[in-house]
Amino acid sequence: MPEGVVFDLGYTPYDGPRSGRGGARWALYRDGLRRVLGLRRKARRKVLPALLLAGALLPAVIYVAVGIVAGELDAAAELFGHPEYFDLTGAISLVFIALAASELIVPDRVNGTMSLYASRPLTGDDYVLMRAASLATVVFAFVWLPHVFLYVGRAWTANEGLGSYATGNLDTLWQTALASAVYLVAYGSVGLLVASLSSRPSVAAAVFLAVVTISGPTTGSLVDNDIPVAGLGALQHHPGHVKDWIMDSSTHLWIPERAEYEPIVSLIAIGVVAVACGLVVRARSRNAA
Amino acid sequence: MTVGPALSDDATVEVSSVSKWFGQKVAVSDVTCSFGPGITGLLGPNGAGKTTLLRLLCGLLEPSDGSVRIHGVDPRRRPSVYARVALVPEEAAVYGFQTARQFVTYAADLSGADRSGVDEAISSVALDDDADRPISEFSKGMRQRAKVAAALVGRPDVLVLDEPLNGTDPVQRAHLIEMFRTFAAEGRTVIVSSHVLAEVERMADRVLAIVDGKLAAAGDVAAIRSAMSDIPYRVRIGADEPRRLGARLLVGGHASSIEVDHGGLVVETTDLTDLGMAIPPLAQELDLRLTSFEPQDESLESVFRYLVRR
Repeated sequence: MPEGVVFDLGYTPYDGPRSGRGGARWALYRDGLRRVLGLRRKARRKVLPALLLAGALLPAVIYVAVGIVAGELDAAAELFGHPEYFDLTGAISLVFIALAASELIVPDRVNGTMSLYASRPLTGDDYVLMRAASLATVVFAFVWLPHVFLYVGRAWTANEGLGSYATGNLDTLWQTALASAVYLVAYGSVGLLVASLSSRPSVAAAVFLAVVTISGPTTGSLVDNDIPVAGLGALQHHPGHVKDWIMDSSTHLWIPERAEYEPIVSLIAIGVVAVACGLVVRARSRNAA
Repeated sequence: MTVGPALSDDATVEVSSVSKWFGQKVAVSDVTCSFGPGITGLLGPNGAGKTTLLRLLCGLLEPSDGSVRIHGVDPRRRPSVYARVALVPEEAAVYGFQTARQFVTYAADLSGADRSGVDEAISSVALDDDADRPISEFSKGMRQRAKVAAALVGRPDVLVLDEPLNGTDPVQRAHLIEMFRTFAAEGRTVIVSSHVLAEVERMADRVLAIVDGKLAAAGDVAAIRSAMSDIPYRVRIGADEPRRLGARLLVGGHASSIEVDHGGLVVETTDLTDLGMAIPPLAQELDLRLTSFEPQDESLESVFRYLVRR
């Protein structure tokens, strides 16, 4: 060995416990939540998610407020129920997912930080699953919380009393939770896919919104021209079709419905698209490392 | 083919017959080597495969053939072993929107170690005063130091450094080199790839040279040089009558060629020991005054140049 001198710079070795793979996954998940919500970022990063959430909550707030003031909750319920509310929150969730997915995935690839994850106690699948879990948590909360708020508001102002309304309408909670999960899977998987293929968050968000929203009119036009199989490509409309099935409602003539596909077909289409998107995101994350 | 010096007695990282190809291109070909406590320099020209090898060690790539083991286990089967490995990659690999403290804390969380070492890691790279500034405002050298802090905060047993001194100024460079040496002196494994050979020479106890994806040489620099028996040594001899000395060396078969210059001569020989033993009696016989005997090509740079040419 060559001669040399070593100075004591005070670095101390660590022999304490390590949280291992579970700890690394948890750190990645928590980082994803912060990233999506703009926490520990400049104020402008927090504003948009907060505005979108406020926009999603606003109808429920107005409904409850007006109901209290006018005392016409039952009449209002006829006009504005949970199924109709989904048509609004589902649309707003598209914008939210566009921003969240791109903010979650694109910086990892652009900044070369995939190597940070790949050289830690994490597998490529851990990375994809934890990023998806962060997105899922926030988007699910985003879509479902307004319904919980509406449910609580209705129970609180119900003529029959809070306890009676709450226990008598428990189905609403699981139905809205399930429908929220359908929206999340349908849109979130495509959002992650587009983000994994983009190198700029703004481009990823714009492309995602374009792909999903254009799928409605284009497939609708094809279905109306006697090409019913095009209805399977109506990315924007599948979750609504399934939601109406879950909630036993009919808020819209969804394109798959116009193509005479049963809701189960829409559910299968959502599943197939989600799995395909997941596989591509997984492959992209491996290549990026 | 690999031989003894490529293997470490007390290996923490073992590379066994590893090959990696991307389509038709073979980036690493049948490399067997190991890394143990101390600093090992990984050398090679651009495109030689050294970064691919580092990425294979760190789990960023999967071998097409062969295996990598860290602390005796296959990290692909037990990724938790990567908690004890840290990489400082050549590319940016930082989030500009995070502060240095946030970035290092996140790295601690990812490595599974507690956060008690965050301040220490930041201090060790002299970023205390800038720890709460966004990394986007950092110079290249400061980003580099933030990456080193993020690697050290997990208190790894194995530290893999890909061009770790890029962008740093001479003072920072000296500081980081001493830090890596301290780290290695504590019995940890440091693997460093750098294109600045003088830095590798300062840091590394042992070098592995990779050329065209194959292991070209391993060991300490002097040992590698002496193993290159087909390449003549160049020695500069200072003498007051270099022409006479040169002629006798050629006649006696101690030199294969000579170049006379002002105040001495440069001799090429395949047997350095023979030359060394022949010079003193010749000087005495010719009544010459010798002023120096300096091997010209035992530096890492010249050894590396020979390896790449072969």
